[in-house]
Amino acid sequence: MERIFIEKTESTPLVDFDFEKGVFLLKGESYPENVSSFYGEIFEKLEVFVRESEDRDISVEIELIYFNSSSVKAIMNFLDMMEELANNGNKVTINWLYEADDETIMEFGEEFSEDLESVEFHLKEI
Amino acid sequence: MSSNYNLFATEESVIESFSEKLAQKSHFEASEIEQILKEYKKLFKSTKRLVRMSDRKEKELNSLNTLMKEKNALLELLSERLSRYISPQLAKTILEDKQDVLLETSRKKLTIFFSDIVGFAEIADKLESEELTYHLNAYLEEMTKVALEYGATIDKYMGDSLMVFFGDPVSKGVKEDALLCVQMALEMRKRIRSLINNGTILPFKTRIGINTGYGTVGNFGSKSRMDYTVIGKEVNIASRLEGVANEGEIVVSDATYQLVKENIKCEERGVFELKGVSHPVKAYRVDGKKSKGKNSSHIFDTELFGGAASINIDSDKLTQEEKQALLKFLEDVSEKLRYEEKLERENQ
Repeated sequence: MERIFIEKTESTPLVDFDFEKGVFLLKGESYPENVSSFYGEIFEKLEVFVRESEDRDISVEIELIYFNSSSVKAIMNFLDMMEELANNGNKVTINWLYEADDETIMEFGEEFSEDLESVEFHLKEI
Repeated sequence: MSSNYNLFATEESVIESFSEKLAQKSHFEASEIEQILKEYKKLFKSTKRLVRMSDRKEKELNSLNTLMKEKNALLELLSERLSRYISPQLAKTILEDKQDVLLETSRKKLTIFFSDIVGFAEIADKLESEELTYHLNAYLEEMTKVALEYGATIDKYMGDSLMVFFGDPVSKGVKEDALLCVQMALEMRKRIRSLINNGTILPFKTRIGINTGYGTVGNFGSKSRMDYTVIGKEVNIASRLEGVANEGEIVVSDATYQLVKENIKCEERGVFELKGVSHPVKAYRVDGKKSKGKNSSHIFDTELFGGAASINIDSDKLTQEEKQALLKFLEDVSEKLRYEEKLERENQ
């Protein structure tokens, strides 16, 4: 599956999804004008990846410093897919990165991790 | 990037699926109800999370708002402090990011004003420093207040002298700028006289010179320390005209006179050879504002003797009784002046 690489902009994060290696990176701010349009193609590919993957190591790094409410829903959908991957026999590790003085982002990470049972979720201060 | 992706696709498919089932049958198996319950619990969890996150964002937004208000208040305070050192208009222009703080200049038609106190060196020599400081500051405070009321850009204070100009960074047009400058000078003279009369300041005698012309205005100096000022021969002319003005006089160049003559009464003062100016400069003494009434025969609005006396009467507004009372008053004034003059003659 072709790698997705999208440079970050003022309102959208850097997206680097390397499906071959099973390494996914989301970094920056996320408040696109149209969340469905921005994440749509990425998530459609990801859904195919989820269906086709088994017994793989998947590593996810999320370093978001700001996101709007629609992006929260998009992240929740993304994490659901990661949970499904883990439930399908893959080893999924998510590193949620936050800056030392950014309590809000840390708490969001804690909040997101509550739903994850099969995914290995780490909060990491940078 | 185009996609039909729906953020809420899962939730919608659950609703759709159970709506269809509900349309087809009235009875549900326990396993189906369990599935609905499971989906509902998941949705409930997501909703709670979204609400919590939204609340947190709102809280964060509020604290940012408070922080912004504090920063704004600080900025206002700094701006207010800054405006004590530079012209408030200039401070405002810089703080509102309308003008870059660069070593840049431009040529503009400005009206430039100079004033000073006649014989200030002698006055300074006779006074204690504290007393001198008090009187000078009170004088400059009032002059500055008037200058700002009229929208002048205060260029600099040089001891007892004041230099201001009109036309940059904001301009109301060359003619209006010149008129405002002359009106400001008249108001300054009036206010200073009032301060002298009520004993606030020493009886300073001011003189004022005004000229209109092209000057180079902008930031001069170095990148680290610059002054916003105006330079050029027109500045020199304004300064020299101040030099030729007598005590209490406002002297304007012909260039300024041509712009204000419809509204300001002026008397020709002569043609001067000014130091550093290659051509003779015709100058006028400003006597006061012209009356605004359509029928000027009914209105007296005159400043005499460099502002030492002023008469302002709008006879249209006076009743017959008031006119009688005014005549009586003027006769009293006349009588008193004659008496004073007689005493002075006898004492000589």
